[in-house]
Amino acid sequence: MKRTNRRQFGQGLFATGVAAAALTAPSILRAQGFPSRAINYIIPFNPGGESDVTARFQQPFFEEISGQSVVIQSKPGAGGATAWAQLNGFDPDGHTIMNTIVPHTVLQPAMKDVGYQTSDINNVFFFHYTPDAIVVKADSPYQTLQDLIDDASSNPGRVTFGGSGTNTANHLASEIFSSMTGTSTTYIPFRGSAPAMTAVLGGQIAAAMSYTTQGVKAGEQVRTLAVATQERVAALPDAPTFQELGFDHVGGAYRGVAVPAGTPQDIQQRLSDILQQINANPAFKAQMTAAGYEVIDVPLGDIPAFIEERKAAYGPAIERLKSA
Amino acid sequence: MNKLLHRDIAAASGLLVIGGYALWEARQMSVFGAIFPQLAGAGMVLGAILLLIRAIVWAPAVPQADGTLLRPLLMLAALAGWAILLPIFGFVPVSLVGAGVCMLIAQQTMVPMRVLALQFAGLAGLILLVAVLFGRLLNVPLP
Amino acid sequence: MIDALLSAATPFNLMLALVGVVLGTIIGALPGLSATMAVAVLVPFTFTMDPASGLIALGAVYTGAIYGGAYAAILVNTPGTPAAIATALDGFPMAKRGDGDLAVTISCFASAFGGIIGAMALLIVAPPLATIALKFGPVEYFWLAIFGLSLIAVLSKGATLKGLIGGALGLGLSTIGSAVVGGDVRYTFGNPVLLGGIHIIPALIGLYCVPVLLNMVATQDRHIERASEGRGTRIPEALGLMWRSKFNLVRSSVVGTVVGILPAAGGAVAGLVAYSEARRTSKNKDQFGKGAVDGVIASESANSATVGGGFVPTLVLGIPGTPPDAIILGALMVQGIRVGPQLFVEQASTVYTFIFGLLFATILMIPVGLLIGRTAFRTISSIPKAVLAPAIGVLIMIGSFAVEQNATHVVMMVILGAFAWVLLKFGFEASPIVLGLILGPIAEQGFVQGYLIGNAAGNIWGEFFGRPISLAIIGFTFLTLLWPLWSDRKGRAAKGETLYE
Repeated sequence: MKRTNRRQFGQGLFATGVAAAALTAPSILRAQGFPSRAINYIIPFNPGGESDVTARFQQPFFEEISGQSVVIQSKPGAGGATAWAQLNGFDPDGHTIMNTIVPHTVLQPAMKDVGYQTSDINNVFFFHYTPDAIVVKADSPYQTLQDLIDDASSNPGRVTFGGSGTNTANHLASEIFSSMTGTSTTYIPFRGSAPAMTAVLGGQIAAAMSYTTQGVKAGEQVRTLAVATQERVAALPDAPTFQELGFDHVGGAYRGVAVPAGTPQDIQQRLSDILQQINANPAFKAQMTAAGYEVIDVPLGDIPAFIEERKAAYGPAIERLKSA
Repeated sequence: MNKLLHRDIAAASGLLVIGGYALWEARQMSVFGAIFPQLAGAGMVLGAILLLIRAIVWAPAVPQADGTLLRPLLMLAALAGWAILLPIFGFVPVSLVGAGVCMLIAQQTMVPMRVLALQFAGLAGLILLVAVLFGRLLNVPLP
Repeated sequence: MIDALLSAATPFNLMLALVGVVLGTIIGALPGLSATMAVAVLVPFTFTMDPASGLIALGAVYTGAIYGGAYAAILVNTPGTPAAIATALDGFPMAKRGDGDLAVTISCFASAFGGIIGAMALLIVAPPLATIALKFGPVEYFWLAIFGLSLIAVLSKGATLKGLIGGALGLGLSTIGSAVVGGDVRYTFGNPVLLGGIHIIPALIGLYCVPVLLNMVATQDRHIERASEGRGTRIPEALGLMWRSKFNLVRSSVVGTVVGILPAAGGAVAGLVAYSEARRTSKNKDQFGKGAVDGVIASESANSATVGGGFVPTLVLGIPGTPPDAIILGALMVQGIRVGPQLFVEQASTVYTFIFGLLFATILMIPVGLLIGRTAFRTISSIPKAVLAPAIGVLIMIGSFAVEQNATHVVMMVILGAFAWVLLKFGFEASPIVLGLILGPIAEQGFVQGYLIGNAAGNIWGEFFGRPISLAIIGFTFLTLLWPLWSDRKGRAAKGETLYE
């Protein structure tokens, strides 16, 4: 009895060896067969948030192109860090992909020990960014960004900016804003961008250091004073860009898709291609733009340069946050 | 009963350790991040001290728990094993074994083999049902 | 309005409401599957429907799931969803003494009543009500959390010290993970899963259910008393009891609606606040925690009322009132519907069709709930412990795993369960710990945000003590805290003795 078991175990080992050999077979074959089953698309944030909504925008197009279903799973916690710290523990076969965000994955490891390093995240594609935006209540005394800056410079610390969490994209943006304008404001962390917007609507804080999407969502209840894009956002035609107002600030939360370390190069390339194809679809683009997102293409080959460029852009502000 | 052996003394000592640890760790946190950990730690330490004083000075009566300790401890061990092995061997096999073990622990009287088999069949059915419900219908990737 | 009523009453929409309620009730009844998850799982199915039907399906699932949480709370002492925490306080003692069927029936009627009040509020006064959500700033949430925490002193009657220590333990547990304010990584022992904090669902399962399971095998007694033969579902009795507590019922439903409107509060807070108020105003305070019908009525009507209440800010302001609302809001956006004040004008037919659909779903919950509840009670009270214990074991394993598809949560659940069981042996109850765990983050964020805002305005004291809503909540907190002390002293003086435990 025992002997048979051992033999079966040996056969099992042999079978695993064959499977492993098959896995290292010529790469073209593998990429053609990919994806061979349902894709798990992990969102490190709560359902209903920007990451979840944009993933759900992608979902039908992804399924159409790949012919496989996409299961969206949310694993929220610690501003995404919980999921990102576990990314490399999943099977590196391309069937588990995870939503990532820059600056989060640059900022978090720089500030605290969050269980991963920026270099641990293997991004294959960045598909859009949610531009930073400064949003005030419709009946706020600040008609323009200049009103807010004037108030902040004559009353240092008086103007309150609400944003999502500490050491986050919003926190970083508010730090960049302060140094850009030479003012001093108070940053108030909330549990996500939605509660910060609620506090703006309730008049508890002066402004939200938030995203264009929040300005779009709140509609006529709010006024967006500035957006961090090259050109005005279609969904917010009345909101000027920072550049128009004389500040060189373009950016926001860049959302990408990452795979566990060790995922074969050709599968990474295939994923990058699929995502690029989705981005090229006019229907997808229209959905994204209407909600306030800026669609961008950063394919696999451009990722290292993109990350380096972003790191350099955030460097000084991160240093100031650290010393604060 | 000897006042120094009062049940609350053990509880208070445990609390002192946990509360002390909470306070110790809180020293390295930022000003705002440390407020509530310190509050919780101080609450535990203060509570433990009051509990100690009360146990030594008044020694309130201790209600006797009913039942044995052996079965609950076995049950706890079974649950712990179940939880740890879950990701290693997969939901269905581990749950079949876990449920079987729990079933044996929970038997208070000797029951005929036939009844045992029936009960286990019922549990196996439940496990398969749950596995199908979650794995297939709700799209939860089971281990 | 009539058009909307008619389009909500189409066979297809009614079928969706029925299927949604049944599914929701079953999902909510399983420990570990919360209303949030039920809604999240079913969202993709609604994308193919027209917006009103999709919303009705989601609303029905949500309503059912909030109600379904009551079964596990009453019959197993494990709140299936956080919203049912207060239900377990009296529901389980009722089940233990043999009134499980009555408790289930009452919870069904109370839920339906609360749900209807909430939906009516949404139907009639949504736009003005939504402003309540904006009146609550960080400071108000801080005081609301303190009010909830004051319930610890009330709940742990006779063991106040241990209750308070439990609350401190719960607060400590709630600080685990990466802090929203300050950004510190606290007490994680380098474990990435702990970075996200202790998840409330595995914690609830561990703290409440594991001790029940362990005690179940310790003795030969029945888990809960079986129903005597031929008693049916005790509907007339339940309705009679509800009529006697009509004020409690209405008050709790209103409390639930209002708390539902508050974005950071949710069903658990609603149930606890309503429970606390029911206890404070009751003539039989001693009965609370020992199986008071009023406790079940208060908790269940309040948590079901949060469904309608939560939709108020969701639809009017685009601010989700509760976590499931956030998912529904996301679904609306994917459908291309813009929420906000103009929604009730531009999309009036969709919105009113949905609200009527929600009302129908709530009414359908009565027969569905009575039927499922009766089956659940019969099953749990009659199957032998040797089957019940491992069956619950299976459910808590899958439940704590499914929350985030993470095996670490399962281990955490067992560890917390062992912790709670040991503490129980030393006379510490689980409820204060859970209160600390749930309310800790609300209190912490409210406090720090309020402090920073007050500091920026140069008036910290004014921020915390100078706002009318804050002062009202502080007043209620004092009432809740001092009332039992006063009545306790009266009782003790009458008995002429001093009690410690």
